Amino acid sequence: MKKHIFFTLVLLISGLARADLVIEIDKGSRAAIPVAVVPFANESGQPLAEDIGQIVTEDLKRSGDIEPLDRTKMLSIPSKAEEIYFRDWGLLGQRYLLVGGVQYDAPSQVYKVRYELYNVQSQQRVLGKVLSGKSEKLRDMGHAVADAVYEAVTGIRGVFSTRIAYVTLEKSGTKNIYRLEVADADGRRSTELLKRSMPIISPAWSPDGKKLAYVSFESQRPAIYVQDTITGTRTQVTSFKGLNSAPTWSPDGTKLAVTLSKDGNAELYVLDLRNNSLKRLTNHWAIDTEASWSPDGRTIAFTSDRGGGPQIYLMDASGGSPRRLTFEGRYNSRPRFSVDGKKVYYVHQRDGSFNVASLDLESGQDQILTQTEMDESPSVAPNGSMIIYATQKNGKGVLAVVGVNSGSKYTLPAQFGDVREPAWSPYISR
Amino acid sequence: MDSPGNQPKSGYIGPALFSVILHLGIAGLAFLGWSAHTPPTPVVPHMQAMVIDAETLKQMTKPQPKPAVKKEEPKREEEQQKKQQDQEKQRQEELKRQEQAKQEAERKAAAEKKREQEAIALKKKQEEERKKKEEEKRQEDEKRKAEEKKKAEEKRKAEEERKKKDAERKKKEEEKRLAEQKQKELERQMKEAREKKRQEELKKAEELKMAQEAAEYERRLQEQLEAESSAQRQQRELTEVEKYKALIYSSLVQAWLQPPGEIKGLKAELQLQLLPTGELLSVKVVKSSGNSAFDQSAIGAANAVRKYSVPSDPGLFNREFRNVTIIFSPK
Repeated sequence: MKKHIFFTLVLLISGLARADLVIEIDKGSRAAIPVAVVPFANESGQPLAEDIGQIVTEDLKRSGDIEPLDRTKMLSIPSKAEEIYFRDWGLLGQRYLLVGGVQYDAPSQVYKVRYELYNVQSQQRVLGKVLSGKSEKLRDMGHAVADAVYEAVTGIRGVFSTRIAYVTLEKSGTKNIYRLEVADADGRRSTELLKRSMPIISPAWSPDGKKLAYVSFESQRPAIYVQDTITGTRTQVTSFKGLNSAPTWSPDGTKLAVTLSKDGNAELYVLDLRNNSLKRLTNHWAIDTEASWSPDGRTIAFTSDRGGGPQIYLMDASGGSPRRLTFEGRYNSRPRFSVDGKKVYYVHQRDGSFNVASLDLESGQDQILTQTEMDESPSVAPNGSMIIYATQKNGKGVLAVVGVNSGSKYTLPAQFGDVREPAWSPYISR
Repeated sequence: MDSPGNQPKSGYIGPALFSVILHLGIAGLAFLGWSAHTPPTPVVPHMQAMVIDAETLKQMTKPQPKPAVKKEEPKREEEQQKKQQDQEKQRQEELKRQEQAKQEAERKAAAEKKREQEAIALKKKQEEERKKKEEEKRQEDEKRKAEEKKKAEEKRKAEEERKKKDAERKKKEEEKRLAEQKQKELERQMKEAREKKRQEELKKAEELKMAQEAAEYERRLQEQLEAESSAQRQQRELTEVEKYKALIYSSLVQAWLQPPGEIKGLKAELQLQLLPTGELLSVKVVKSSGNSAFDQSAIGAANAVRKYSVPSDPGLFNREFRNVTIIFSPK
């Protein structure tokens, strides 16, 4: 009898102590996440120059990782918690819901943008914040909301407050006008940094996002310049005989990898900006150009035709012998490291069309990311989730963005003239 | 139907007729005037002639017997006399003629003057009539204009009145609309409150039901335990558990929208409380992945499953599926 009681007790205890049933979920859908961005309530008492909800919607959509709900499908337009019927949004298949409003304080002329992000399924508030600024900051505030929402939903820092640099070519009669411009990441609010009648090429952002290195032919032959994007002051950093091209910054911002032909043939050099010392990296009869630093600064990827046609090679940033990276196709050029350093993006030619491709350094697996015909100059967003590139649309150079995870594409609003050579800025601390 | 050409023709008839009558009138007057004066005209020379004739007659009567006495003398005298008489007669006739001519001229002048006066009077009368007519027309015009103005004024006033009424009506409608809106809003809020209350009650009822069900399951479990051998039961339950585990796995894989980017190596552990109906009672993160978006995606997935597949066997449900741990860990 005693034994029996003991046995029962053991059973009971083990039953109580026994762990829950465990189910491990190792797979899921990688589709864009549905987020309802409800139009922001205008509580300012006056018409607003910017539609914050629209800015957020467009930013999120452009990423390809988030699928904002079409406004026309919304059953209600809540702007605060007590107005939300979560069940409705759940039935619309939404995972998140962004609501907010814009207020205005007339004496100080300051706008207040209030926003709240909810997990529709759990009805939990994930974000809640108020931003403030004057009217010219409304777009910035919109981008900041998009950044916060993107990060909350994807776990990845948003890049909607970053900027892009690019070159435009305007042909007026026989004259060409080249402009180096900087704009918001959505292509809006562009400002002109430089205007020349001779080509400007290869703009590259410094890691602190304050300076641009580029090549200008204004003195009849190519020279590399570094220009401060805020003050506008610029310095010529190389002007050797022959080629001076393809500058890219080392991750610490102290050096530039450049292509020079001063010793007879296009070779890679590293220019130390602190003391203007020059170090030669490659030494080959073939052309070596278009260097890109790995995020850790240890490796340099570049284009060389030493194998007979242009291919991507990797080498130590301190020198040494290069090793060939690409073998698919007869034309691979213009490498750029991914933000995590695990991939290299480049231009790949296949069936007569040029496309942006990626190559996984560990597995060696390559993937074509774009499908138009003349895609070139890929530049990676600082969060690694998007790539901006130049392409042709109706015979005109335009800029497009491809979502790295989703593969979704988006063409930036048309600019005046031909647009080319985009460069995505790093995060800019303001 | 009159042709347009008739219009002026008939318009002339009046004046023409008038003109003819007027001329006839003037002629008539002239004639009457002349014939009225005719009888006295010859009277004057006749009277004079009578006077002259009487003297002549005396003279004639006196010497008349004389010529018979004196042959030469009286004859000369008679001739002289006759000559004198003839001259006198001639002079008288001349005078008479002159007088007649003068009278005729005077008459003509008087007639002419009269005619002129009449014409002037007529003209004046016509002028007066015209002026009168004009005056009448002007007055009429003025009257008409005044009436028109009055009418316009009345119309304007009516329009103003209408507008005013319109505005008032609109204002009233707007007020009514606002009031209705407010009322609707109030009703909506009340409805919401009612709905919330209803939901809460439903939830309470559900919980109560669950508790009752749990008791019932417990009782049946006890019965089963008594009826079934332990080995048999374990075997049966193992297969059942695996079956429902697989069903829950597949619904969560479908419901999980993974965040983009690199998520390999992330791991979030969630505890789910289920109801015997398969509904989710609660979910909580027991071990975070360290990535809030990843945790949220897991919470979203757990909540997105409308109905979990759970065994209908109450004992098995209570032991294995009332609390379930889900580990989200992408490979």
